Amino acid sequence: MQTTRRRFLKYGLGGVLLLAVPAVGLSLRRSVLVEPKSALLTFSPRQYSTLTAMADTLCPGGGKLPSASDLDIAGTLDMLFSRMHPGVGADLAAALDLLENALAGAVLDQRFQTFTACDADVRDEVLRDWSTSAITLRRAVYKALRGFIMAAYWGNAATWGAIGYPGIADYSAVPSPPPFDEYIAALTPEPERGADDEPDSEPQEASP
Amino acid sequence: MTGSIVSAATFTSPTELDCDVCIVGSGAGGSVLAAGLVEQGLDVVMLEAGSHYTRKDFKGNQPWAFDNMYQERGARATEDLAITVLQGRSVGGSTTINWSTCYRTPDRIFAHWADVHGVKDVSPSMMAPHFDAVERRLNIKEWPVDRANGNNRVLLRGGEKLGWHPHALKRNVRGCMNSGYCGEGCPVDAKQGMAVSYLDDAVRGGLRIVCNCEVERFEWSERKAQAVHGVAVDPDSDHSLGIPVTVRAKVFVNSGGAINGPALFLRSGIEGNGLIGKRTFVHPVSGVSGLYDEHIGPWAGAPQSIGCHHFNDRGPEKMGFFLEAAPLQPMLASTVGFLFGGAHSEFMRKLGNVGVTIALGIDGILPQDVGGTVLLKSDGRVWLRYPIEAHLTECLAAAHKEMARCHFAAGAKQVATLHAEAIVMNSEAELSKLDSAPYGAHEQSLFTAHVMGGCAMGGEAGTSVVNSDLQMWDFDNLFVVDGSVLPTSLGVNPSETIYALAHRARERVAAAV
Ligand SMILES: Cc1cc2nc3c(=O)[nH]c(=O)nc-3n(C[C@H](O)[C@H](O)[C@H](O)COP(=O)(O)OP(=O)(O)OC[C@H]3O[C@@H](n4cnc5c(N)ncnc54)[C@H](O)[C@@H]3O)c2cc1C
Repeated sequence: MQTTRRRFLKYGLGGVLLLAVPAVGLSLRRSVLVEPKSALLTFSPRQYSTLTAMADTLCPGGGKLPSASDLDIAGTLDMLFSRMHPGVGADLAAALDLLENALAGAVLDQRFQTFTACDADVRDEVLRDWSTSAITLRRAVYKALRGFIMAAYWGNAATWGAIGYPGIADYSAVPSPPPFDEYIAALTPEPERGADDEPDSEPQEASP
Repeated sequence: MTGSIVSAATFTSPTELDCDVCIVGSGAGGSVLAAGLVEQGLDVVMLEAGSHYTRKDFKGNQPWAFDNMYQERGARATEDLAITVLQGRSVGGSTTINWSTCYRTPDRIFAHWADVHGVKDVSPSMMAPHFDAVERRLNIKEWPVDRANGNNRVLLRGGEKLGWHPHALKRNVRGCMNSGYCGEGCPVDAKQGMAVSYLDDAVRGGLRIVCNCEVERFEWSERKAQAVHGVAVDPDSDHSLGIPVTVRAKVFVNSGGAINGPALFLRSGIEGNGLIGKRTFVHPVSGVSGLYDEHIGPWAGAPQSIGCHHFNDRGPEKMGFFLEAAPLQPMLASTVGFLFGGAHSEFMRKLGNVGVTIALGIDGILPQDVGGTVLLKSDGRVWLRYPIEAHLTECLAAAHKEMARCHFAAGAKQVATLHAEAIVMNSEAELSKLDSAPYGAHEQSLFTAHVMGGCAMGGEAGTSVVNSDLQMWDFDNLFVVDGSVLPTSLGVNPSETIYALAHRARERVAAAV
């Protein structure tokens, strides 16, 4: 399949739009919906399904890695955006609608189905096109959605073991340093010691 | 008299407070100032939009930290989404989650401010006592090279081989365990962020902090600010709880930091001759990764301990840059670049052997470099418009070459850029692949953790927002004490400059009461 960038460069915007004329009506194509794991706070079921499909394309799992839907990354983000300015969720919902839309897909990606109805290879190709698109706005939207999905997925401890990240060490038993007054008092110059000779040595790190 | 830290979310009815000085924002600038004012016997109230967290909340958990202690939950970006913008939002401001690197302002920057922006009495010698004071209180000292983590050693090794004189940098820590969790809130209170240092002093001296209080506007007329109006916000959602908080004071200080501070003025109808929010600088950061045979562990250890200033001054026509390392816990590491699917999982699997060097562009120095502009969106959001101009793309191209060269000199077996179509090089001979690389918005990852300017200090009302005493030109009782007063970026990490400027402002603000 031709990439968006190549296609765009070849035909220009006008040409690409002309190619799309027969595709009118594609916007009505059906989405393939997945059942949300909990009540949605930001997205519609269609947007949630699109986000799930995108997250699974970006983070398919494999080896010891779970897939994005194993971790319900779309649900995590739905919750996150409900705690942000409503404009953020609205912007991302619009971006997901654009990605899902079969008409827009036909115009720029040569796919005649909604994103959620595409098989994994086509989704992969579509997102590759978005990530390298000649249209800066598409790259921007891709990057924004990618950032959220990656952060939610790789911020989840279930992904860490597979990449050798040892996880978070527990420092709760380590005492805080003494209050500043006590620290400074302890440094009070002894007769043979100058005021500037504060000890530089820091306690050595422990392996907690 | 002991002060207090109270959450506005606990208020059940509209609350009015009176004091001598009201400070908006509890970050680097506001905190040092507050401590100095209470030391002089003044009654000070500080309003902070974020929550108050302590070491028992800090568990090195990056998702939790971004969610709770970063502006817009870590998702802030420039208007075109090209530059990710990291800034703090909790008691202590960005210092609670910053990486603890400290530098004095370079002499050449002070000279530039005096020559080009007419800044008065902010010279190296006049600032020296203020630097001395904050360095003592915050225990700012050189971090021993033998405690540098793998990621910083890469920069040290590569930079030394190339004759770039990389150096050990200073950090504001006491009893640091080298956990690498600076960006998540220090789990052992070793980092001397504001919440455990100047604010602690100030509260013991009587400072009243109201957190979870978002200040919406200043009330003012003629040359006088009369009150600030804020609203209690829910600590969990940040949404308004609808309970107004009003503070009346003799003197007001905007310490909301770059972007938010100027935005507060704009919301209040204070425009400072149309200069509010203009000249916002970000030290635009790009990165290049190197893959090593040895284990690097870029997630552990002090995030930054080596710096390299070899390229700060690239001549009069060019934008300089400086080199540092960046901490890479999986979450943050995964967000950079454009890769996805199997290729990205592969990158993540190798993360333990990856070192990332970052180049920070020194914006605002070239005459044509006016930086970004803070804008208010009609839906209430705040945006930074930061165009990526030719001087920056030239700088990015040069910086990428030098970062890649440094990785190879340090022994990397493969070097990759963070472009939309990553450029991968397997030896120094392949550096020429970078010659045709595109640079610009969304061509490669860009981010910033150093937002500066927007209420520039200067010698004249027509060209600056505050005078050299950090007082608003158009007001008798309104000051700005935070990173937004910097007339240019610095070429070094900004926190110590802000601490010292705030230390200097203590007498001036007190005198206005
Ligand atoms: C991840 C990260 C790492 C960094 N690492 C370093 C480093 O290693 N070395 C270094 O020198 N610098 C570093 N910095 C930058 C440095 O911490 C900041 O430049 C500095 O703290 C800015 O100080 P400030 O006073 O201007 O604002 P901040 O410290 O950002 O404080 C501003 C505070 O004001 C509050 N506020 C804003 N608007 C309102 C409002 N309307 N109502 C109520 N409250 C409001 C905010 O919530 C915030 O808490 C880092 C920053 C980040 C984010």
